[in-house]
Amino acid sequence: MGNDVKVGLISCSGEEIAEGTLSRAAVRIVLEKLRPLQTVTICLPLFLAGDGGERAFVERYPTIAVDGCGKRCAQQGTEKYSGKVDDVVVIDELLEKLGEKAPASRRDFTEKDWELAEKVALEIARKVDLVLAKAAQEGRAGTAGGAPLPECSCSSSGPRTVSVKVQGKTLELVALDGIFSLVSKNGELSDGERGQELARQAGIYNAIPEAISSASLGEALLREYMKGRKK
Amino acid sequence: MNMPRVVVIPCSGIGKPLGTVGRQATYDIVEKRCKETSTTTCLALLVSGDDEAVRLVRENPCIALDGCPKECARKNITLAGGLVKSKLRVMDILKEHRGYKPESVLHIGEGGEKLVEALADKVEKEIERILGEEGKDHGK
Repeated sequence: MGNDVKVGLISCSGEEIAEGTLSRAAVRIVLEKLRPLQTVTICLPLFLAGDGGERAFVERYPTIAVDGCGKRCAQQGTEKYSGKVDDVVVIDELLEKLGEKAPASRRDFTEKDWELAEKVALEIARKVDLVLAKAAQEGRAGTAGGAPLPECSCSSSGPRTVSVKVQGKTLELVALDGIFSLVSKNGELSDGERGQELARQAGIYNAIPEAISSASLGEALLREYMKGRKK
Repeated sequence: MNMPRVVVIPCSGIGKPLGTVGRQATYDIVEKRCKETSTTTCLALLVSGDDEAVRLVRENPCIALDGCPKECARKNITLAGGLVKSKLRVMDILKEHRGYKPESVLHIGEGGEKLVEALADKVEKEIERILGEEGKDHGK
């Protein structure tokens, strides 16, 4: 099975309950540690609010919803707006099955809570493997020939940095995907204005050295932006 | 006089440490600093159209805490018919405190915790301001 097959993990991340914090932590553990090459995540509020790219992903790729409680916002939201999820983990049900209690705090996890998050993550990873095996059997494609991977401006698979050369210096910049997406929505801009806006936005999300002029940064980012548009 | 509670809603963006910062600051506000005057709800629940969550944001002033330019918290409160009295972007707080860099999504570290504190300071002030205005309105 190639690394181009990805499973989308959609976490409810519910702020009201500790199980929401647990769902978020467990999904991050899967993304960062257990199955970094096979999984991506999608911001649920962004997905539900109607981001086309993210919805297209769920329509084409296998997906697992990770919900904190029986309201199942992640599963139901996904199925309402896009397609049937391939599997679901409901944290409170899983905890009952494991004979575990939810963390006492929504904010600060104890060592025992982190161990619990690892246990939940293992369960999600097990389901990722099953979903991928099934997808392979059915010949469902991953990214090859399919929709682009979801790029929420949170950088779905962890922080993605892009190296951009400006005035002879190489800058490692974050949040460019989100910035490019934002600027692309403004069709009224001339190239010069677009470069200025790209530089302005990049300055919000990155510490740009003082020696770098805004004009040079704008030109470099505009080149990157145009490269992306041609792909 | 029945004073409203301010509803603080972070985006909790799962891909970025700034989402964690907004989330942690929300807990500091609703659990410690402004226990009696603020509350929160699940953003996904609100977006799903849950009656109780929708009623909460329609009947109370809201503060949106967003981790990225897509402003999911602000947009979704507005879409639900809620009134966003204040919108704060975590990145703007980071710009004011460039040394407070959060380390990772799961473990924001010391810098991240300082950023949480700076954001919570701002949210607390906003809550006081909003409730002050609400008090004036109630007194009319």
